Amino acid sequence: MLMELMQPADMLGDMKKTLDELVRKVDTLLQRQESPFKEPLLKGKGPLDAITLLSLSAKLRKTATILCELGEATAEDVAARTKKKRAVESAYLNQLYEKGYIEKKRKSHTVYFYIPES
Amino acid sequence: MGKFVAVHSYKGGTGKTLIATNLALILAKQGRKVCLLDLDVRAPGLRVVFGKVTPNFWFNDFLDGKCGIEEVLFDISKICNIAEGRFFVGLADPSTEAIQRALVKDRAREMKDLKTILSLREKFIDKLQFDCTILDTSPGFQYSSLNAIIASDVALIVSINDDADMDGTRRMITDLYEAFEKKSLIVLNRILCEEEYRKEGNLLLNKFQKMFNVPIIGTIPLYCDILKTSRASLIALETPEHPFIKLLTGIAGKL
Repeated sequence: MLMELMQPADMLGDMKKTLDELVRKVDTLLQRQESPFKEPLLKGKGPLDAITLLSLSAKLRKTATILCELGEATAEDVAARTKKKRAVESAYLNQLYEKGYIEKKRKSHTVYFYIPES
Repeated sequence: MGKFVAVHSYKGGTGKTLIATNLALILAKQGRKVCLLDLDVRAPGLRVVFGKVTPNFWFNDFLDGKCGIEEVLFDISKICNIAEGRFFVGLADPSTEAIQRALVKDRAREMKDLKTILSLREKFIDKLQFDCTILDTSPGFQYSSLNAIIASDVALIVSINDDADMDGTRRMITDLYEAFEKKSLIVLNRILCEEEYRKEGNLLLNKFQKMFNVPIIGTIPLYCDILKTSRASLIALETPEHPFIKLLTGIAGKL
């Protein structure tokens, strides 16, 4: 779609998708470099305990640790702790969700992330 | 603002519990409200030190959800003749049965323990208003130690003049403390015998600082008289003028 024909909302939506994808790719690169363990210790979903936290990339580790402390939180709650943008923490939390470490639920219009009881 | 300090080491026998206990006493005597918690659930050491304490609940019971943390804490300010500040201890169960239960915890349970220990921060800092909480931990990479470090603001690493311990300490600095973005500080314990320590003095700090990329905030020599005393000695109370306490007071000021 030509830029001049796009509505502002569509343009913002496209930009957000691109940014989310970029964050995911940067994070994958960082995870390869930053994890103290060369090979993932755990394959697949596991409880979010201290060893799992150590196996995550630095950014996901920080977000996950804060969620461990808060129990249940929105992206905004986590962003208030990390001092990052809400959208950035939302991306990290969704990555943790996609990896199977955390769950999410909707309460009216707000998405809450939480660590499931095992 | 209240601070959580995890006293940790790579190997056992470095003097963590002696240092953690006396640091807590020094801070309480300086007028602070201090809590000393025994998180070494696999080899609890504080029960022997505080033999006069008869807890109704252990820290293990708190982790099991059988009680609140207030029921674990014991105010021993009067027992220790501390008038300036307040001193609380929370002890781990030293029974063989409790240690066995700690050994067989599964990962889901370790995750729950992490959440429980993290929940202490808000309680201790905002509600109970402790100025400083000192966590005595198990050595090395054990779940209880990892949980304590994750919950802490500062990792105070007690290392000794031993190649294996120093090598392990360096790896823990990069793979553990830095991974969790924790401020880490080193105390080198039993670094030399007293006489050599007096001669070499500040040269020691320069020599050993080159081995670590985090600050060494104190060096302590081997005091034979302390070696001969039982673990149950509270040196900061019984012999506050001992050079060990003077060094530890300097270390406490840098935390």
